[in-house]
Amino acid sequence: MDWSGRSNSSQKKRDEQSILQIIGLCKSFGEVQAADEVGFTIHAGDLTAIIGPNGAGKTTLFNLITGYLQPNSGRVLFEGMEITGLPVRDICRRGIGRSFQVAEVFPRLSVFDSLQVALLSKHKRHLNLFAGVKDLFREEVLSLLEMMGLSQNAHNLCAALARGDQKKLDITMALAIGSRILILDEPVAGSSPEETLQITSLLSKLVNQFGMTIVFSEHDLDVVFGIATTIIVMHEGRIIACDTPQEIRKNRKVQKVYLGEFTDA
Amino acid sequence: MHTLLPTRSHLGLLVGVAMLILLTTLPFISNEMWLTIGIRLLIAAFFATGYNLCFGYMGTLSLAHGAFFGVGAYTVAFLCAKTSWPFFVVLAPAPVAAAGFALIVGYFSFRLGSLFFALLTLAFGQLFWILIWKAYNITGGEYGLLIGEYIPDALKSSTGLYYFVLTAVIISIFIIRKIVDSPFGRTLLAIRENEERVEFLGVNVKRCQLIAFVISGFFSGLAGALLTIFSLAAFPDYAHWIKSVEPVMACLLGGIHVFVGPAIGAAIMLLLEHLVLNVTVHWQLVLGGIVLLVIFFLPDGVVGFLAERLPVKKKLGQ
Repeated sequence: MDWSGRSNSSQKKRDEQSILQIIGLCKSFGEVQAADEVGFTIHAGDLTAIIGPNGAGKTTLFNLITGYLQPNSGRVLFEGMEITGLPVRDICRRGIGRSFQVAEVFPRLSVFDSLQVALLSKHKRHLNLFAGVKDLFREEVLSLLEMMGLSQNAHNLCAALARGDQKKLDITMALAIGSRILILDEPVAGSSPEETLQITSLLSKLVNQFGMTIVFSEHDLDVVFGIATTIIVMHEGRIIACDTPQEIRKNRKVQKVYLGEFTDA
Repeated sequence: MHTLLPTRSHLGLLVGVAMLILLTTLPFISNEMWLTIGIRLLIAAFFATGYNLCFGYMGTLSLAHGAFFGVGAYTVAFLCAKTSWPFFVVLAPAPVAAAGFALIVGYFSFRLGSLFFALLTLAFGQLFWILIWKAYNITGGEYGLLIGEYIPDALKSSTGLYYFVLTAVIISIFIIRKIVDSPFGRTLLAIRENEERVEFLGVNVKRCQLIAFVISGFFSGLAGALLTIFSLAAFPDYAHWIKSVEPVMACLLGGIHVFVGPAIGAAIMLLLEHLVLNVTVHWQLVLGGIVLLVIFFLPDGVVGFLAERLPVKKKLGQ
């Protein structure tokens, strides 16, 4: 079932622009059903938030999409091509970038060097044994750093960065490999209000100015309702709602899951 | 004031040039004994530097490099003893054979993940050592395999042999340095720091690890070949697991995060052996104690410790 919630004629047109299709994904860990017949469609240019209580299956879903986990059943299609069961690196190369709940950086490398590694992979130069690496892709790295507001940290070690900057770097690395869709796991978790504002502005800019498609999970509902164009709500491994932010606010099932009661809001 | 400070690479270049001058003039300023120590030091430093490609730059502990060293040693010895090929033709297969063995060991060992990697490499290494020991008819068993009078006349003198080893080591270390400063070297560092994250950048991490392992094995084999030429024989000790531990200790002593760290560590070990042996036969006990002290109090090694305190331009966080 497609949870896009749009009319049939516009649905057909949007389906032609769908970038990611999740069809009946299931994943269990023993008796725990972490993903239960999860299915939805993401369209190019969407800024989609996936929300749900802890243990709802958001990170498991991201791991299934990006190949870190293999589903028990179901399919993942990216730009119409089947990517279910492919290794992580192959899914990345097809255009799906990922950032993590806890920023995954390279502690003893500088910010510049870290992005350089991503670009080496993008341009398939990472196996080059004898070229000098020092200034390779320098302009591209600096351009990315400026776009993401990390220029002043270019030569600082990743371990020395503030948590918010590490999160930005994590996102930037996902961007640097030439991703067409970003899967971001709690991009503002642990960030200060100022860092949260910077990151959310960045995400909006990536979608509005650069045509990126973003799917992110978050617990901060102010962020979710502030920037998402579509919200998918998960609970106990299942999707219970998928709609615009305004409709999600009024959804009684969502209210019960989050608040334990219905409200008149 | 900060802008007047040299960079680390400028200081490194200066030290490198000074070392090169010392090494090239050593035969003129030392006696036979120190020249012999110099040859052994060059080989040990080279062995440790090649090993650090795997250990320090990729973050992988291998206990099979003694076997690769042994493969190189026995390949040269076997070809010298059983063929009449020209000397330099006999030398060439040694590192290639070591690299081939490293390919087999690495292919199986990397598949099972880092937890079992060191144990698997140890097992492969000891398997080779047992084969050498048992195949008496081919390898000479515990008595080793002599290469007889195969060495060209130019290499029969200590000075000639010294310059031959020095040339081979300088060229090889130059190649290792190029690899470290290459896109592949940068990718290895990232793999060391966060293997999973590199996979999520689209890199086949296992393939990169295997390539680095094979290159490291290649240079270990060449080091073994050089020691065989120096000793005029290959011995089972060259392939024992203890031989694998030598470059590990050299790297830890000197520092794994500085390119010259392993070489300096190997030099410290060798000089310590020479000095302590004048006092007691238990020099390994003394060495072990010193390595423990370095691990606890100088975790970046001697060179790493000194490098941190150099008056140079630094990055934030260093």
